[in-house]
Amino acid sequence: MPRVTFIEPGGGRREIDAQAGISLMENARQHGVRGILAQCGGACACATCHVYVRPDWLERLSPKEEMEEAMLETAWEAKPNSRLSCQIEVTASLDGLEVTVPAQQR
Amino acid sequence: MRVVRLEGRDRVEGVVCADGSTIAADRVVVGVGATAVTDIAADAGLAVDNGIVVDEHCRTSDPSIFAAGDCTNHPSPHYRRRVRLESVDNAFEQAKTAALNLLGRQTVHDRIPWFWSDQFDNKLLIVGLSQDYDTQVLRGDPATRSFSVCYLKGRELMALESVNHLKDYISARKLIADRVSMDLDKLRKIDVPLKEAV
Repeated sequence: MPRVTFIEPGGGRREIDAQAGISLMENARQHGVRGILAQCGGACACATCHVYVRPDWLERLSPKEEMEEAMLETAWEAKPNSRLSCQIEVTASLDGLEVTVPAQQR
Repeated sequence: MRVVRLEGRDRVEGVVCADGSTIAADRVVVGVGATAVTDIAADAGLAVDNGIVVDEHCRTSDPSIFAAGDCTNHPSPHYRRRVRLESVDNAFEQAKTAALNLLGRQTVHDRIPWFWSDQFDNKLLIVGLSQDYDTQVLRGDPATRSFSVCYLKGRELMALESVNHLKDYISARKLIADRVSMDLDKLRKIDVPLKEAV
């Protein structure tokens, strides 16, 4: 199981054994990671599962599609390393991934 | 006419009505809506009128009781009228407003409603409320499966419905909130980005 770390709002580290084949957002929800709202349930329609990916991991993720890119414009304080966690599918190769959850989702 | 049941072998073929008649059908669209369950509020003596009546702070007619979500009839400061919304965003955001006010932090619930639905491989995104408009403008060709419908009152954008056109939807959120005056001629041209059709 890939081990993934979320840095929650407030700075707490949450390491989880992530399930491959489902999204990073779904993994976060299953483990009750704080600050991931995911209002739309993973439809790439709301930008409330926004995370900052640790920069050295960015290139190792599948690239953003146009839809995600556009939706990120509505995210709270989007940065170059912003991603929507519902659009990142967890695979074994993501072992060690670290993302930071923003202080708020909007 | 009340519908009793749908019938067909491998797929729907007819809609059977209460009077025994059958209407032949290839497709059936079910649009039943929802009813707010307000019994508990009514029993408690709270004001109920198409939902539990709350103010902009989510406070009911009893100042020590708050309500949030689909069941509330609440003021929309932006649209200057009362609304009852069946929407995930409203449930999240009104709950947040209610919690803040319960903690003594005076907060007003004032949001532009938005809705989404994935219809097979089509992404439907709606922002704003389209009940109160005088002009409707189509952007793009529905045959391309990427288009938007704008609802305006005068030149003010009240709502926008988009099918597979995320950019219009994203621009509309801000244009509606800021009450930007739109240019109708530019608006009709899908090639002109929505945010520049002002």
